Amino acid sequence: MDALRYIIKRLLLMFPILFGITVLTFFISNTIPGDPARLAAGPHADAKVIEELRETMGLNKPLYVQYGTYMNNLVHGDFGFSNFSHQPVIEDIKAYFPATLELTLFSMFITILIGIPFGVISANKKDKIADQFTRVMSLMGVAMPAFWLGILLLLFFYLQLGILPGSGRLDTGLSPPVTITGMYTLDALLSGNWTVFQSAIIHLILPAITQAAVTIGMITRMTRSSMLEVLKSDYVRTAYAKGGTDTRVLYGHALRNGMMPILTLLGMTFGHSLGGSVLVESVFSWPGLGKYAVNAITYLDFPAVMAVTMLIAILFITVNLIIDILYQVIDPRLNYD
Amino acid sequence: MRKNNFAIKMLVLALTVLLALAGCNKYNEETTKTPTDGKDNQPKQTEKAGSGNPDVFNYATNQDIPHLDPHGTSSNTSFRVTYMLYDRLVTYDGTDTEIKPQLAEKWDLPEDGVTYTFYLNKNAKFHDGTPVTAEAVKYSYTRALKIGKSAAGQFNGVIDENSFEIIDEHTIKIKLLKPFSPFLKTLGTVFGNIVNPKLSEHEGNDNGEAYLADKDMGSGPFVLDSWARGQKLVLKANSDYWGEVPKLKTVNVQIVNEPATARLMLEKGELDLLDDTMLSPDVLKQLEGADGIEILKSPGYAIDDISMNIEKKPLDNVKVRQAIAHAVNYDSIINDVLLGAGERIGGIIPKGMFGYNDAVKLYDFDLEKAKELLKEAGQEKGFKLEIAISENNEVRKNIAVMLQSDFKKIGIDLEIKSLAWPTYLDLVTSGKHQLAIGGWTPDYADPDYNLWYFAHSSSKGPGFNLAFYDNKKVDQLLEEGRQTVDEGRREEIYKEIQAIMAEEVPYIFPSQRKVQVPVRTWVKGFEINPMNTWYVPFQKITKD
Repeated sequence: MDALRYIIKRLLLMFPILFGITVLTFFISNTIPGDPARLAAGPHADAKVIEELRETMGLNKPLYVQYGTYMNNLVHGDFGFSNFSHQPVIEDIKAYFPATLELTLFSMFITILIGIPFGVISANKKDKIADQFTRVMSLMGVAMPAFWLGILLLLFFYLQLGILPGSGRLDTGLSPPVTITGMYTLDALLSGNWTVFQSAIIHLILPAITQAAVTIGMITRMTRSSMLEVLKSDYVRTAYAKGGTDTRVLYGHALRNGMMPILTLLGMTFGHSLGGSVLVESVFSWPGLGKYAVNAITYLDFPAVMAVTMLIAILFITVNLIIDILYQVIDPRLNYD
Repeated sequence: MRKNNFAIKMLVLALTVLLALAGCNKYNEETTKTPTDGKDNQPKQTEKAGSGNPDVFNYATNQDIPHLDPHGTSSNTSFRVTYMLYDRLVTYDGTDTEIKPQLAEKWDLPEDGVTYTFYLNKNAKFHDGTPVTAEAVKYSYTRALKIGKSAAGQFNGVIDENSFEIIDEHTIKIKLLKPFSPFLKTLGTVFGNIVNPKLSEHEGNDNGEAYLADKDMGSGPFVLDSWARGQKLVLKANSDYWGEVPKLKTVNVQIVNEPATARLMLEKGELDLLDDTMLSPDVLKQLEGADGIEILKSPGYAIDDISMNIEKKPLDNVKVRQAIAHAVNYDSIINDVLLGAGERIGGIIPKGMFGYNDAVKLYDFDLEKAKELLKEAGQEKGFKLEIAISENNEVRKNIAVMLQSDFKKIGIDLEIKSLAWPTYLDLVTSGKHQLAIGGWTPDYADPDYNLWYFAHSSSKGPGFNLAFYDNKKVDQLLEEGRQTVDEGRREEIYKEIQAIMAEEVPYIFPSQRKVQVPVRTWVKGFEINPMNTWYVPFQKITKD
């Protein structure tokens, strides 16, 4: 019951946060000099047309009235209309967001799969060769610009070896699977289309590795320092004394206790990857939300900018809520307040 | 605790299996894609990918395609697609900048100066099988006017909803509001695309803009097969096309955001052709001589311009403007910035186009002369100037930096303001700038097009007269040119305007660009049209 009350409380707290975000985004994006009607009308439209468009877009009203209209529509589930793509913003989001989510999930999967074991090994073999190696690797991961790493990987795996594809989500000859979630790997699996699944996975590898390089570095370093702390504890010594194997003591006893800061960081990096993948999306022509958002800003397509910001905010908050709940699962001694 | 351990092992195992299964592909030139087992042999998947297949063409651009409404768009990436999906009364073909019949078999030129009669081809059909009729022509132009965006810019003041008279199913009379000699040429642009009038059933309250944004209601040589936004748009040849059916069966228009990636894909042969604006001059230079790649070079009508806002002091003084024109190192811009892909030009009418004046005054790069002129203008002490450029344009940035160093030598302290596109557009169209670097390509090859925008006083600011140039004589000549039918007289008029402007220098034109397009050598039949450089004639291209 405690848990439920906690979740409801947190969900309710989301509203003031989201409200704050809409205010900030709306008013900040409107300070960009430029006329959305002018951009929507195109270069050859005459002044009368632009004026009419400004009227229909509601741009002649004071900013707070525009904000009110926007919020009123939003509460009714209407995210507005994109002047760039000529369709409701929600349709655009449906088209671009799954690609970003898929890439982020895949790169988080790699991060957890590699980052945590690396950190554990590094802590366990402190100052040995293995530790030095993982420390250098994680430092490189954090320090290398994603853009540069991406091009490097492309040159090697795509141009030289020719074993991985260079861009996009699927091979050119393939058509996307039936849309269920919009994530190609999942949709292909659900519809049992093995060829598309294979192609989708292969196309994910390079972008996901590029995106994961930074987060792997961060998680490895965090895991290492957290584990070093825990490994000094009495119960670890006791566990070893009782004859526990390395794996069991490290992953069963120590990691579980050292998991808190790692989880927090995972939550943060997830949000960061969602919003900050534009460079990776650019190198690998990944048709995701990052590129869409950049286009939206360039065309002063405010409804699109608002929707993207809110979507990322909601996900960020949700992921962090899940993480907070996981704290309790991992350490039942904690209570929800 | 055991469970935890087990889970990790399973994850590692799953990932290994996935990678092993997936890793069997070879992403090489020879790559062909066929289903690995019989179960999922959907027809689309049996098609060979990459470049081994002469039926499939892979084109890449780094600009996203906003939408496909021919009357609402002003984006080159949309034009390229709508030009294939739709037909027009007249069209442009190959490298030719003069119109050819398309939906209109023939037409009568006006005797009264304003009434045109068009006779439509009776075989022409929309993609749903209905014939292209006079009603469709009326519907399309009226819709363009109602929407009021880009396309209307061509028609405003020339025709209105009462201009049409349907004679019979395949004959239509269009009566202009006043004589407008380039009228036929405007009908061949993307804005003159003819839409199936069945669209009226889906108009809603936005003239069907949202409906048509991702659909095809044309009669063109290609039909829209699929479109994964931000990713890939697939065109299929229209096998029932009333004209010549294209040889290519499939055209993939791919969005490859990063030019460096696109270049690698071209080298691998996974792409056949890149958007001409994608690679910078130095990357094109590097690609020259690469195996299997050719850089097609062709004259273009794209012009770089530096506008000098004559409403701002001291640019209101013609001597100052002339001094600045003498301080631009034209040779260096063409040779060092454009790496030879440009040509010196004296006015806004490109070389090769009707009305071009080859005798206008050209300003040499002569700093002594410039200083002298500044002295005559009483500005020998020097002054500060700002130049606006839009971000992410390597060439313009380099030109600005070059100007900055040369201007310093004559005492002008030039500050470069690099702005995001909407901010740039707002600054220059509202006249708050001093100098600005821009570029211009005509939508149709008539001197009226370029000159009206650049020189007529009614075009100041939003109309793209960014120098805020105002000369009663020039206005009068431009208005006369629009109403004159005699081509000889028109040529005289436009040459005179160029001569006047070369003396008064509201604009400096550093270069007329050459179009350079990287293409695989197996691509045949690709001709570059100097005015529509975005135009890829997929309907004429073959691969061998």
